[in-house]
Amino acid sequence: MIVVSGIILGVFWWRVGYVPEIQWIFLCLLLWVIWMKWGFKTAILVLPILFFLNLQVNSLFGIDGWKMNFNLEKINLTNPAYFKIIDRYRYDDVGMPYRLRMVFYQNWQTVFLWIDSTFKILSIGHWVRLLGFSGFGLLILGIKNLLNDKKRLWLYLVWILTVAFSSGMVILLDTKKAWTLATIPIVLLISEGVKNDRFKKYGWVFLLVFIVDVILK
Amino acid sequence: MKKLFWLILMVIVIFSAYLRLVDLDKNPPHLGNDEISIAYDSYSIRMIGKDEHGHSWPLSFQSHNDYKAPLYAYLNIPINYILGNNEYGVRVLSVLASLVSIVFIALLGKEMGNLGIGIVAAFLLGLNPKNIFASRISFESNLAAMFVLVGFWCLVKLWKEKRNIYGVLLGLFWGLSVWAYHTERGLIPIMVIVFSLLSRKNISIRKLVVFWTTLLVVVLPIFYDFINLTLTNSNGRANTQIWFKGPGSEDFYNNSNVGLVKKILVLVLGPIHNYLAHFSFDNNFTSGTNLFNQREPLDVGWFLLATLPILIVGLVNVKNIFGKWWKGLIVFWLVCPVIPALTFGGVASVRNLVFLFPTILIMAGGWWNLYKKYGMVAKVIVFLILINFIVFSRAYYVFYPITSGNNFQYGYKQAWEFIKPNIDKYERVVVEDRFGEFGQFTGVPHLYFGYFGAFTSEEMQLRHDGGGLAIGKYRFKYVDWNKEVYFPKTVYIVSAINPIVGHLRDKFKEVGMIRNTDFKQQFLIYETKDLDN
Repeated sequence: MIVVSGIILGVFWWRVGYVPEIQWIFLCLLLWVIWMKWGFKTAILVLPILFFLNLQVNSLFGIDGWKMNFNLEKINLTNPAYFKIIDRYRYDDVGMPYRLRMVFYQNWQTVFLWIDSTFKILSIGHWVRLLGFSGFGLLILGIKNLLNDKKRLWLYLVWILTVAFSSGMVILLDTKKAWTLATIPIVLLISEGVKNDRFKKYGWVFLLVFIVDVILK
Repeated sequence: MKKLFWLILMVIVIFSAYLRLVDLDKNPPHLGNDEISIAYDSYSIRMIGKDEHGHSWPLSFQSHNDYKAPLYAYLNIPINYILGNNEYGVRVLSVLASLVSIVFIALLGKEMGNLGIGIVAAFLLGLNPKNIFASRISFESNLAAMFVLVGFWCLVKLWKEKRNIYGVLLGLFWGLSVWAYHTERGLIPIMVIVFSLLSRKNISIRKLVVFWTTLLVVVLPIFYDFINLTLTNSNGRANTQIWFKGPGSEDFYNNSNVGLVKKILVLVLGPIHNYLAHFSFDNNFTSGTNLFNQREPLDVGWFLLATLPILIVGLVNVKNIFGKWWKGLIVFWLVCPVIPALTFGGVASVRNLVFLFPTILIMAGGWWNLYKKYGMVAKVIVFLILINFIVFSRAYYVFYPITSGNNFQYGYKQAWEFIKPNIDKYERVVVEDRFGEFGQFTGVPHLYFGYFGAFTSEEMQLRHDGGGLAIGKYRFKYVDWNKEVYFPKTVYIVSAINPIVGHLRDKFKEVGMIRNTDFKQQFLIYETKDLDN
């Protein structure tokens, strides 16, 4: 199972063509071990670090000595062009009382853009682009398999969602980098999918779809 | 209880009517490309029994060579007669279709679930961004979606009460939907097969035969015309909108270096990617309606973001909520995007309006389920939906009319109204058919001028090529000032990026300017100086 899922992931990482730097792999592994060992108790520590680590991988955030740098123009929440649009809303919506306008049309509205980007990368089409049809199918089977072990499933999903919301900060998303730090739960979910009876029964269908995915690379 | 149901439903319908009728002539700010074509054809049929191109009582309107389905234009005739040649005279039918949909989604929710689900479904459809957006434009797809929904209600009644009348009505309404829009020409056959199979144990074959026969009788003429057009005319709808004829596709298949197998796979998988995109979170909840021409914080999806939790709850509990109807509902939900997925640009378009109905029914079921178990959470979600709707309403009712002028060829009606008081003194009116900030769009000014009264339908029939499209004293064309010949008593309406230059400059003076909805210059109006005398 591990071999099959390893091959699939290997091929898809080749499709994506991005190898993360070694330090991210180690940091990520360390966080993953803590997360899986002590679970949600460590959320307050693990998830923010994961979030910022993912921002770093996506070139939105960096630490230089004691100074933290954010690439504000590339972040949905802080892009000046969006602030200008919100200013325009504030000045154009003369039908709304002035005080209400000053509260309503503020920069918090960029949250909608953040959610939009996050939704984009959580959508089925994006997963298919990332994992191919066969990989996506296995991922779904994996989730289905893990319904019996809900705690583990939630640990995987919360990790994936944290990475998704972090990557959703990026205005121009790089598919290669968006899911780098979610590799571990994705691999594990896919390997869970391999355990599913349907995969065992219809493995040849997955093989065919897998060949199609490779051709489409 | 039933009285209360009807009372609440009436309140929802009245409020929804307000949301759909308020400023209907100003938002969207101008009749769009397809709207003006439907409006003009409807008016022309009413006046002389012929469409713009001279076809008598056609089964497909040639329109912009996209051969539109005929039902909207025909049903609009009495409305056009009553309300006249204005925005209301073509858009009100779409509003009515939307209101009927709200009533029938409530009835469907009541039949498949209970009275509460029906009311919640009506409430959600009444506030639905995509439905509001589509019902304020004369979209044929909105009319067709309404017929599909009413037909679906008849199917449920047929299943429950086994009366032949519902079989006849089901055939009639689904048949009419085929007359109303192209998507339904593919969708209805699929639905007939799927739902006949699903109903085989509950509806006798005799009753199904009644339904099939009625449907066949209703759709036969339109299918005959459709097949005829598709075979004989390369511009027929099915020949132009199919996904592998999309922009760039032909170039990819003919000139790309990739192997044949990959080409075939890309060809086959295109619709699958399209299909999956109909279920993506961003299209559904954050940006699918594409209100703005650029990415903006206030853009919305087909559904309000706050309805996402109740959709998830509805999907997870669909079996418990809808009992024996759950399969039918899920199949309805899954089948709707199949045909739009076969077209290019399907996801961002209005081809899939039927999709709103099953989704909203599932949401309504989800809310009801939540209300039964966690009443407070359900109430908080209603509050969030209302807040979310207020945000959407600012985007749609305040900013959309400002930013969408070019999407609706804004300015032609205003230009006509500008010159109308002096129209008798002009011997020649030249209107440029390009518009936009960079003159990048080509419009159909002759339809706007015809619809708003510049010339009669009979005069339109006599149009000919006379240095541009010539109708009486009107010329609709691209204006190249260096090649223009001077005629006295002439007025020019040209794109703002095309101010007068060359030898005619001394003979004309600028008498007006039409600004776009975003206040940028849209058209310049020049008339000959001899008119001053």
